[in-house]
Amino acid sequence: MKRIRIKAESVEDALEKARKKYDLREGEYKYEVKDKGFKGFLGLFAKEAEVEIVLKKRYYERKVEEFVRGILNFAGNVSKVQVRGNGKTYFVYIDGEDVGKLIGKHGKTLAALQHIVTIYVNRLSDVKLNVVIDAGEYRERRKRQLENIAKEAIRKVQESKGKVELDPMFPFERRIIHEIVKKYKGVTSYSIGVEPYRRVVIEYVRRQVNTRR
Amino acid sequence: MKALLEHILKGIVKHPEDVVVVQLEDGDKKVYEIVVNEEDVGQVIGKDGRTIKSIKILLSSLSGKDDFTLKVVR
Repeated sequence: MKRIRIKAESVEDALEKARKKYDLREGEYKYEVKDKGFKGFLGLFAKEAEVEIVLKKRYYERKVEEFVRGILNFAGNVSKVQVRGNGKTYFVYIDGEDVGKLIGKHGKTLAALQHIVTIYVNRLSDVKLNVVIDAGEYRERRKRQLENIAKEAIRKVQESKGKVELDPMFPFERRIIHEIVKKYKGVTSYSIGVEPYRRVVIEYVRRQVNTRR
Repeated sequence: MKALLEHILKGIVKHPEDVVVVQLEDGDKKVYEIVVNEEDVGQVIGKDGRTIKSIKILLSSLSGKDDFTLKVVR
């Protein structure tokens, strides 16, 4: 996640310095003493202590929650914020009465919030972290909706042996469609057009006849 | 809205202490001038203006208003 090296007069001072600078709480970091330091005598041969601090998942979960809550304070009644880290991905679940505002047309506001929170968390980390935000289960519902759209289109394509062009979608929505099409035999999918009007085409593929056998 | 804008900006820049937002009136439109550390200008605007656009979308959704402009000042 992130490794920080900090020097101070003593190990305890170095830890205190780090806790202050990064707003760390108990249980949110691990540390290793790199150099115990040496007080020296008569002001001679003094050497600073050095510790290496590694920030833990709990730290990122709390910081992301605080940042998102700071934004939602301005969003009316949106009280529920939950953050779960899993490897390099942090899932943020938001819910409350006014959650609609936060989703926007076609999830536009949700995408904007996700982009901003992703920048925020990556400023605190050395390795690239991902953020997925869902509000009022919008993403879950949208995913099921996309699955239905894909299945319906695949059925049509298989019947007509032709092709079907879907409505424009966001890149991550198109990806969901492609994933579903892959599971079916006799159909293929690709995207056409330029953003923001890029859309998926599902097409029938004639069965490959192997002439050599 | 100014407070919300400051909260977002301070979260995404390297130098939060340098963030300044000035609210101006341009006719009946509000203009928010954003000043950040030289090093953070690119971060705030983002690739193809994606970040500043995201901030604008978020602000207008949460406030229910669309009659404002964000300006990043160098």
